[in-house]
Amino acid sequence: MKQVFAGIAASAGWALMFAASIAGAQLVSSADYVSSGPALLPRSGFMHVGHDNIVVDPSVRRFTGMVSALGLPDAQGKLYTFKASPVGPRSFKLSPDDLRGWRMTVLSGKRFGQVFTVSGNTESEITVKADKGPVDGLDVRDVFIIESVDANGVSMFGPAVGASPSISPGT
Amino acid sequence: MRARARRPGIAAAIAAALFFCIGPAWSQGARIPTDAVDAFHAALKKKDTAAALSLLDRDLVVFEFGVIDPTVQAYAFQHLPFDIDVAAVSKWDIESRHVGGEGDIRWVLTSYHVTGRQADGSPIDQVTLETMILKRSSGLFRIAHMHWSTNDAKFQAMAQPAARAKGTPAPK
Repeated sequence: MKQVFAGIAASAGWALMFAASIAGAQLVSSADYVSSGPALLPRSGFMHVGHDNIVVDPSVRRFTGMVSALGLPDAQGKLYTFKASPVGPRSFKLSPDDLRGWRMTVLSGKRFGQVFTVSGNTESEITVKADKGPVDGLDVRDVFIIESVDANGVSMFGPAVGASPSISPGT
Repeated sequence: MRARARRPGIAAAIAAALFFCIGPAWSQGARIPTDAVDAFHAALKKKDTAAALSLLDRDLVVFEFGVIDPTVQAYAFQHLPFDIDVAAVSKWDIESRHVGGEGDIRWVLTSYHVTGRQADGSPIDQVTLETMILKRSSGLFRIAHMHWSTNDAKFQAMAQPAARAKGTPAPK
């Protein structure tokens, strides 16, 4: 039991470190800038550019988190359940079955890019459906995103407001 | 007898079909560099996180909005959801495209006219420049570096720290 708590505490620590590393990697302090004419240019030569200037509503609801502990395998030795620590601005306090039917995509580790469907959750534990196989290979500290998109790729909250039917370039 | 001989073949065909249909998402990529870029944008538009990830090299580094996503995990966790949200409400028309490089390293330089509506209803109408560097492994190209920039002067001004300190309002 002590080991379990120690593991959870360690995982929480890793979650904090991960969050800090993401934030830290992106902070640009004023010391990083040099004067160049009317404006300040980043010392690194990087400009604040991109399409992050566009302000849009989230197109789906999201929960991001990190695996804090693995659950117990089923009778066949397959793993479908894990404990999760919320990480990142898109996380929220979980209530039972908040995420039922949502799509989970693993964002790191051996299962990078793998997709599962959530069958249910508690305040701290997430279980996936068996239809896409077990989460074997998932490890503590792996990060994931769970989106309000069903198994067929359809948003469970309807199309985004103002969504354009246009397709992306090259398609 | 003939039916028995067929079974291994059918089983092999089913196994192959399953491998290609439900194999690891990361095994996607594209044989042509521009296809990888266009498929990435298509995946964003479809809110298909796994498909987008499948087109990214595991050594991906992203420069976007003056910040660096130093790993594919950081991009996937931090910026990819936002890029999906932008793609959902905007249309990206290719204005020009240049392709270069050789062997396993190629680049695709694209200018897009981006239009749509922001959350407050104001129009999105800007040129976005995109640099994509692609790396081929196992015969498939994946995106190893992305960099976006824009011609939006209001935004450029807002993005400067000095201007921000003076309370320059965000562009509308």
